[in-house]
Amino acid sequence: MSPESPIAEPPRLLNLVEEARLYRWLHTSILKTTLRELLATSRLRASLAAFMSMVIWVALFFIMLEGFFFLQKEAGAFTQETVEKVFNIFYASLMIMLFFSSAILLYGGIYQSQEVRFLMTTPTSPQRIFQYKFSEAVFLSGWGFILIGSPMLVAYGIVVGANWYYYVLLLPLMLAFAFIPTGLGAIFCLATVHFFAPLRRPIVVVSALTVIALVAWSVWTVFFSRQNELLTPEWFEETMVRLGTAENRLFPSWWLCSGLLEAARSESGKLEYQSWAQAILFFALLASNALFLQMIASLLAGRILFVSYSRLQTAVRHQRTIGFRWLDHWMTKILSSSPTAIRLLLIKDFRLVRRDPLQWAQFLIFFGLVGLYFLNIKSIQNAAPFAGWVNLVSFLNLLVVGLILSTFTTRFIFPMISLEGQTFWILGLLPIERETILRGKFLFASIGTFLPSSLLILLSDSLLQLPGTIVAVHELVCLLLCAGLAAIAVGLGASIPNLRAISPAKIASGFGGTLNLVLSAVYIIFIVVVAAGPCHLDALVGLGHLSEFFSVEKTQMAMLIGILIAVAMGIWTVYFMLRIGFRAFRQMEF
Amino acid sequence: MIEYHGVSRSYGDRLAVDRLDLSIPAGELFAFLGPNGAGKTTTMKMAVGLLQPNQGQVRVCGHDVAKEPREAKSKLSYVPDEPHLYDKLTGREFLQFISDMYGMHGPEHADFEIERFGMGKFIDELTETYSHGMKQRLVFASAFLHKPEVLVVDEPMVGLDPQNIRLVKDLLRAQAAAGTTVFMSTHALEIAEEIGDRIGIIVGGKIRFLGTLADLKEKSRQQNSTLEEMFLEMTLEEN
Repeated sequence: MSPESPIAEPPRLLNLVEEARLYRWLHTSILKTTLRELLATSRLRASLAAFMSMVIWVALFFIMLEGFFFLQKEAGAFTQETVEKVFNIFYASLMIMLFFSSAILLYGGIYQSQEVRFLMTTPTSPQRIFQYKFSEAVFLSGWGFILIGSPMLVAYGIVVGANWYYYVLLLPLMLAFAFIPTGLGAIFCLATVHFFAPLRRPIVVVSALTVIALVAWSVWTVFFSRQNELLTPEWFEETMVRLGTAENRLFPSWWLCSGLLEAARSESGKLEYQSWAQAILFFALLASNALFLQMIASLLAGRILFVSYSRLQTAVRHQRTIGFRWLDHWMTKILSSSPTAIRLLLIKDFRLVRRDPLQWAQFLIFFGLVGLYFLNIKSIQNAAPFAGWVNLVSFLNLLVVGLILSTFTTRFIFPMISLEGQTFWILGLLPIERETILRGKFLFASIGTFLPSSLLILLSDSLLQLPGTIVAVHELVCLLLCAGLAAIAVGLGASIPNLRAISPAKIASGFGGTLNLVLSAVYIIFIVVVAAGPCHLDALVGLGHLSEFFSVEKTQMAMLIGILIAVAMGIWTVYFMLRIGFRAFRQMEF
Repeated sequence: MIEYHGVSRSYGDRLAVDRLDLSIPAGELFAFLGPNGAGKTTTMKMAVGLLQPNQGQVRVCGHDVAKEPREAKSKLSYVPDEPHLYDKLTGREFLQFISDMYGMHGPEHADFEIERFGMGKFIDELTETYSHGMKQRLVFASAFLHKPEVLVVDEPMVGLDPQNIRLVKDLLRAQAAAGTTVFMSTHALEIAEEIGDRIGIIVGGKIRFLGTLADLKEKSRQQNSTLEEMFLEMTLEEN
């Protein structure tokens, strides 16, 4: 094999413009291929993602539109001052979220990425590597910001009859704004790694605690330390005053809001004051700051990227200690009467989940937020507009818990079999029936989801002071939901595993995960409507509502039939999904 | 050439490389041996700019890697133990990307390597579909695109089938014969024996042996042991 290339052109270092062009080509090529592949192989997933994004956008848009119209016509609270306050609070919150999300994205994208490890061994300048990853962070955090932020702004424009240039300036203003917290997050990330590489863990903990403290303070301010009744104009005014810090003139969110409000403002007719010029002035302020911060971040990266990377790679790594062993002993004792194989598999899965903070942290955040909302449910009850309100709220709460459960089973339970696939030879060679493995996972998922969900439902129902019958039906529905969702996730997970993927997130976002989510949603809606619906109808009729259409006898009969159908459906789902899972799992090769 | 002058690198309190002085001239295939955690990869990472020394200086073709990283990196190629490829690029696109990165525009550079490595059949497929052997060919092809003066290769034989192992061995020898400095780490003494011009054995961050195969054989003859026994004894001392 000849090592001699016939080409005489010597290698040379690229200048900044050539580098920028090359990396733009890289981004575009990867994006084009990914989109082409997505459309060719995962049409369902792509269509669902696009459809769901559209649904979210349209739903947010109509909620905002109706809200603004309501405030304008009914509540009389639609003053320029109020809108300014609401906008400032909203975008100041988004700015904080963007700052932290971009810092985290850049940390992962630069310091934990195999790609950057490769690029750092090439003659690419550190500034270019940074810019390459920075643009990814802007894209990743920016699209969510625009998806959430734009419906409110379009609705606002329609309600106030904004000028055409308001709509033209919307996107540039939002984009320019998105660069600012991302730039600040990037500087924070680079400086933290460079100066405090060995202290990165305490810094992450302190940052997380700061965010939690901020959220807790906001919730406390809005709901608990109020002087006025919840959901009244006085309460609204009081809340706006308390969160007035968001209107600080030095906040980029204030520049954005001012630019937007100026663009939407009607012309005064005076030559010295033109709203479009004011809006462009704020856009220029945002854009210049965005560019300035990006330049500072890029210069900083040029100076410290390689050094900080080296510092982080060579920082002391604390050995991960395995604490909480008592939980395993406790689990072993609880399961002492179960078959040995099931017990061992359950304890293994329990250990894996316990030692992966990503799994239980998401679970904790989801259920923590729902718990927080449930704890505050009493205030909603006090502000109830009609007698059946409590019933409706408890019914919706049940639905919310079910839908959260379905995202959890799709994200964590469905990929479990695929992840076992990487080391399937271990399980495949065990002297146990393969069905036992799936049974173990089903029990683990069912018990693991039923305990917190049933407690949450109990909390919600007791705070709403619901009658015992409804509480019992809700707990039964919760049991059916947990068992059914666990069976769907385990059955589908075994039937359509993705044995090549290593990341559970990637497995969950594939075709199987999407199907799992859709089937789970259908199952939840069916069970909740069939089992809990008649029960609430019965309660409403008992309160004197809809009595002209239904008699108590009829609603009680419907309740009984509904429960029986839901139980039958739950049992059939568990049986059917596990059966198809067993069949596929038996035939799985390794 | 690669030169290490009094180079040390620690991970917290643990010294991974301890005052290393080493020079690998042009046209030499230097085989770097040692047990796991001996400091082989750390030493190599400092040459390619992934890690920076706490003390001392690493120079590649006369350029200080810490002070003139771009100039130093433009002279070298690095093939790590777990190379990175872009899943969503074809092999040809990847080669073109690397070629452009070194300012060598035009498809002829990539075409030459495709031909040389016999990748014509699969080069227009996405790299995510490649086997380990195919990926390794592509990685080596990309490493040779700009005719590097220094080639740093970390554990190149891991996971390869006998045919590909032969290919890589021939390739590295041919590169050294053409004047390239080849710095290769390996766990396997027999590979070092077969293709290395000079052998370095590192244990606990310090060079324990530096010399030719003949020197190593002479040392083992003096100690009345086989090469393998001597190598094991040398590396076990530290443990």
